[in-house]
Amino acid sequence: MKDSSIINLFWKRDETAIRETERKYGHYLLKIAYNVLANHEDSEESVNDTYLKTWDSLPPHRPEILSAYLGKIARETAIDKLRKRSARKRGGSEYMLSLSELEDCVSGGESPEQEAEFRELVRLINRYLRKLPKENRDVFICRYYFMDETREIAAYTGCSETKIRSMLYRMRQGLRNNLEKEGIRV
Amino acid sequence: MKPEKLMDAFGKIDDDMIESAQEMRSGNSGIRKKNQKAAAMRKKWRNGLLTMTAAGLILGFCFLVADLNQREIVSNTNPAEVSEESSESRTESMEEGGTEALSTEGSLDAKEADRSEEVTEATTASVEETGEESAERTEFVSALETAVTDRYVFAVKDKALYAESRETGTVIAENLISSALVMKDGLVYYAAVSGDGYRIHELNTENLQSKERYFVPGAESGAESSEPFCLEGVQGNYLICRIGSSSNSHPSLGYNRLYSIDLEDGAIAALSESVGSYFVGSDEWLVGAGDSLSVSVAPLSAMKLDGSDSRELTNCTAGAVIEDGTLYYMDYPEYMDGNTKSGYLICYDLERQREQTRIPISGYWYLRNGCFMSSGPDQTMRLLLPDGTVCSYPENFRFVRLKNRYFATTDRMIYQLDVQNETYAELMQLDINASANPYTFELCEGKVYMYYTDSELVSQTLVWEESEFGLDEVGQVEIEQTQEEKQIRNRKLAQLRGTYDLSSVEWDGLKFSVENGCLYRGDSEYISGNMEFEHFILDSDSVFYCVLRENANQIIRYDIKSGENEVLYSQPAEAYVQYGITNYERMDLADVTDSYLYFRCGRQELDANTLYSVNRETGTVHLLGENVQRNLLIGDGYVAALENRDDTCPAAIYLYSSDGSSRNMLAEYCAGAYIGDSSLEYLECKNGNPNEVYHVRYDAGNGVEVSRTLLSEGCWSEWNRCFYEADYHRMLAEDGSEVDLPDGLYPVRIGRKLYLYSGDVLYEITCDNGEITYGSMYEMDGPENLEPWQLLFREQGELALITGPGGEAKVLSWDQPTFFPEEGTPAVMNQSGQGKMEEKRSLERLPGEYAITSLQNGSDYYYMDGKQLEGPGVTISDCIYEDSHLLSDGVYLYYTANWNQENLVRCYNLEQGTVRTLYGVDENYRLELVTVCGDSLYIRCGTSDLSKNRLYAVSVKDGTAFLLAEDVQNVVSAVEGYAAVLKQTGEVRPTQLLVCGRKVKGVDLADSSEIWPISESCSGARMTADETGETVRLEYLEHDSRDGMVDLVIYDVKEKTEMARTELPNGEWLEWNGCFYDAKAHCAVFPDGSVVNLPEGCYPVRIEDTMYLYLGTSLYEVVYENGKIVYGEIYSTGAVPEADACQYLVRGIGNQILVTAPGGETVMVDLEVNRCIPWFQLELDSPVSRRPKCFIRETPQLKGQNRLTTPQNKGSI
Repeated sequence: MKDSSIINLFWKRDETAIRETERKYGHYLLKIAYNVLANHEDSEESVNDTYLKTWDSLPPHRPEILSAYLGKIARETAIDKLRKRSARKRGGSEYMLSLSELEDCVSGGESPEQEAEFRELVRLINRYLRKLPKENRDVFICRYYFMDETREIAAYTGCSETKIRSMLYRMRQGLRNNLEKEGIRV
Repeated sequence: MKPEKLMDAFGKIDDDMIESAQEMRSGNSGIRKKNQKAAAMRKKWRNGLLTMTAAGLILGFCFLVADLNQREIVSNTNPAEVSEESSESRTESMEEGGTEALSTEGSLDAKEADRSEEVTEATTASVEETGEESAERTEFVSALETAVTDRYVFAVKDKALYAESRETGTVIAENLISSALVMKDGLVYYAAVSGDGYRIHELNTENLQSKERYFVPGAESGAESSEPFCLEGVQGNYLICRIGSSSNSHPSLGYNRLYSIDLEDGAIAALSESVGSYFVGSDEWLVGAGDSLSVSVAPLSAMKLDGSDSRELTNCTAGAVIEDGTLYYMDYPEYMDGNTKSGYLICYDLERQREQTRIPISGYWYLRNGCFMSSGPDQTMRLLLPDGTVCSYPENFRFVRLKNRYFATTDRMIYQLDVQNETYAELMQLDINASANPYTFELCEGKVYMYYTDSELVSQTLVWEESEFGLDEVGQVEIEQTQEEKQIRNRKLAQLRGTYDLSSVEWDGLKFSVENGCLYRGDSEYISGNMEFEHFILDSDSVFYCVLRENANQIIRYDIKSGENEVLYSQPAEAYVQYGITNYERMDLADVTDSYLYFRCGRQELDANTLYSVNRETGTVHLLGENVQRNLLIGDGYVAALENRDDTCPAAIYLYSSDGSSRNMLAEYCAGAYIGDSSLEYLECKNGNPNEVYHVRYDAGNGVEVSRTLLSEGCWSEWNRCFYEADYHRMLAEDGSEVDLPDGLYPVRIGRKLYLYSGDVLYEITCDNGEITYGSMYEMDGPENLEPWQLLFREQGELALITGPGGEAKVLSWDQPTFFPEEGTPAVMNQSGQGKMEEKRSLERLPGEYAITSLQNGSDYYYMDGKQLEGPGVTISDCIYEDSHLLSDGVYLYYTANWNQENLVRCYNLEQGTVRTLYGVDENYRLELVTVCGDSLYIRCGTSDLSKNRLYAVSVKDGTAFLLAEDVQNVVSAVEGYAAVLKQTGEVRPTQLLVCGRKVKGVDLADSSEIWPISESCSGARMTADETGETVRLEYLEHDSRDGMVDLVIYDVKEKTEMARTELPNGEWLEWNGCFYDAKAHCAVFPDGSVVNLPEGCYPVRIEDTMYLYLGTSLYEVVYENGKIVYGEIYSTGAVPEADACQYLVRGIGNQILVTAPGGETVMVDLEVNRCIPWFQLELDSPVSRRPKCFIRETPQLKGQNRLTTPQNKGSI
């Protein structure tokens, strides 16, 4: 099914939208979640949460690129889950656990300045990435957006893992220089 | 900023970029398929390809370079624009038949226009025929360096032709004249020399059978020389070769004459006596440029391959190309008078032997790699296609083109020109490690060969096949270097000095660069044009440069603060005519001081020049010297420089007074010089003998020689203000000793300090009696992708600059060093000083001392809770001691329990969730888990405080227990039935080391152990077995009570003999996570025996033969190479990051590692899964560039005593 049709189903509040999304993007989302969580059960749970969040957000949103939209939700959801899990495992105390639970009902404590700074950071990252050659940019996104392993990226590109690592290193350096030039402390 | 925040920001990357990356992930990207195929083929070829080690290939390399040089007919004129109007109208006219455009060109006279009209008709007819004939058309194909078929790679080494397949290499022939191979229809032609002459052989690439095709008899002297005979290529059925002899020993063949050999009947035909090595050809005609290839214009001749006809097309061309059987060449009929800068692009029908079209072209166009190139009015490069179309030509396309189709760029991309749209499509990224040398392309039998030299100066050939998608890689040939070649390479490198000019520099937010003769500030702020040389001099507040403006050479100072230009000096530029072109003498600013400007003036490349000085106050000009090399040595009141002596090397060194009043030769033969702390230092070759080199110190102020020392034989030169010997890679130290340098490190002097640099790191050193002592280490943000030997350092004003081959410079220091990350300090001490040292010493601990209290295995989490062991879905409540702890080998969790008046050792199967009892004693005895190694769990059993204890090895399979020893402090490790044990000998360390040889199962426990002492004074040990278990090696630290030194001893347990003993540097040595670690100097012994200082904050881990460094939450796999730590895989341990790295215990179990924090929290890291959480990597960035500062105290190359020595070498053992 075409993305536009799936989005229409969401807008019509037709529950088959989720089934179609799962059929088309299930593996894609599971991989994103697994790359973060490294656990199958948690990943599946995270993907289910992704569907629910998508259901809640479409409408009002009507994404132009559905795969990217879903991927972002899946990624955020998985990272949230990972942080909660880490807090539970490491601290073990009820205090830490309560703290992570409370994150659900507060804004995260970001001040407007911090929010603005974060938006600026996002803008600079996007600007930096746009300047990169396409292949390099794709590699960067695979690693730091999709969190693919370098050997996976090597397989995607057909390049050696060493080359991928070296590309990533240079891009990280470049990003850092760019951010520092713009006055962002890295 | 926390990496998590960055990671969150990555989550907001724009959708379209994510979609693009997702396309690649899902395999819809073309690059994937292309790269995979290329990589697979590369691997395939590499597996079976040759490693060429022969000096014979130097010849090939030289041939390649010479060939390249010859092919590039370089412009040495002032580039001028092509008339865009004319080319545009030409393009238009071609569509309409070509006549109209020609008639609109005012420069054409009526006669030519009439002729063009005739030609146009002929063109139409010709085009119709061409369509049918094109499939059979033959073109000239150049000889190759390497020939590649589906089964073999053919190349030449040691003057022998080798065929290398995946399985084996075969010598096909010997005594080859050169490495030029000609390939045609599955046959490879090569030329060999024999006692009585030259022979051309034909090799069948399928069955590797050779047969002689042609023989040239020669005199003995001629036959022994491989120089005069050369295979040039093949065209159709004719092999093209050139035969010449300086001794003219073949009078019948003449000198440097071109021949064709008919491959069908072997008939040889003389073609030309004046044609050089630039050829194109089609069908029966071969077209060659004249032999004056070193100049930009030359005659052009067309020769019939059977020798029946030969004619000169023009006496002045810049090159020719053939497209679809039609010859296009540039004709400059008026060039010879030196007044006109215009010519014609001629389209010539070889078959009918007459011109088809003649397009007037203004400006000078030259041919490079099959393309007509020129420089436009705005200094941008342009490309002229045979049909007259002018395309833009990006600046970075400076290296290679292949017949207007493929363009390799300086950033290692290959583009394909879309002629219709005049755009360049990105074709592929070259995965190569090329040096600054240009690549070169050849096309042969549908394959594209690209030759290049990698950064190690190893010759490489990449081979592609043309396909509908562009180029698919099918193979790669690598030609390794011999020691002799490396020496030659180092010699060449030594000659690089001074050839790196400053073409761009960036520091502190400022940037200056020269592009296309214009000087820019920042990315776009124009400062000046008309720069004759693409370099400048940078001072702290000024940029000095030269321009040629209004027929005058000017030296200009640009004030960085005010942004204003000031003409310091101007002199008329003298005009001269060379090769028919009017030129002006050029000026090159050599140096600037407060009092004088120094510049050289001469023609073109200034190979013949005159050095002048200008008094900045009075403007008086003084002539100082002639034929002076670029680098001046400016001393206090004097100037020294090397003057070239014709073509001989070395040069002579002269001392001039700045006002031109004196010029004194210091040495007739000088191999290099620099100004040291107080005197001029230079290398003098006695009587020009490069093997008898003296190091001379000269007091220029008083005019006296201070010292003169004879150096050992070798290739000495000046290198970054040090004296460097290239053959054996050593340098001359301040104290006059000659110091061997570690591989990969090159010397540099900045200010008064000596450094070694490795590309990204600069080590401060001092040399004493041939030994190097390392000081602070500095990380450099130098040019990327360059090898250390490609970098030059220099001081300029108050700056220290590091310059790459392209002339791009990075600033290393300013008034206050900003580009050195921090002031270098030795790494060991930090703010806590001695306290830190004590802390490290207190880290001496025993395995098992950090008892596991909680264990995270993947997502499963186990922990001790009072008397209970909690796990996912399981609670075990029979633990006996409040302080009871866990041990784990990745399969079981071991714990102690009390049940039915017995103390028990139990194990919990992590996978199955089952519990089993392994061993039990009466509850009056206390049990303690010591460690687990292999299949043995080691426990101590004794009184309540275990002051009297017995050590047992309990089989984890069936619970069988063996008594090993009494009063045991610890078990070092156990393998293959042996356990190394440290025994308590009192309250103070070191302790006694024993080895227990465990016998077979079932023997009475009390008698089952064979115990023998190893050392009475041991502070740490590790024991390992090889893969087969045949050798069990015990390594231990033994203290010598007499001198307090520590020896590292290697002991063969099964043979019961000492294998090696090494004295370690004085320190606090102990065993630490499987390594031998000096807590005082923070260094460790690596598996190769090197003693290596570790980065601050990192602690060593050794698991089998792999070293790791533990830092924060990451484990870095490391090796020690070329004097530095090289980082490999990174493993995220996921351990609690709050603790200091030195507080972690790391143990290896198979492919898993247990990382235990002080509280006993343990994480199992699966090395195979290698799950690296990205933001941890980000946090650390790269361990190479951002690792904490360290210094290397000793390097393995220099410190022999750190190598393990055998007992035979040490008489005392």
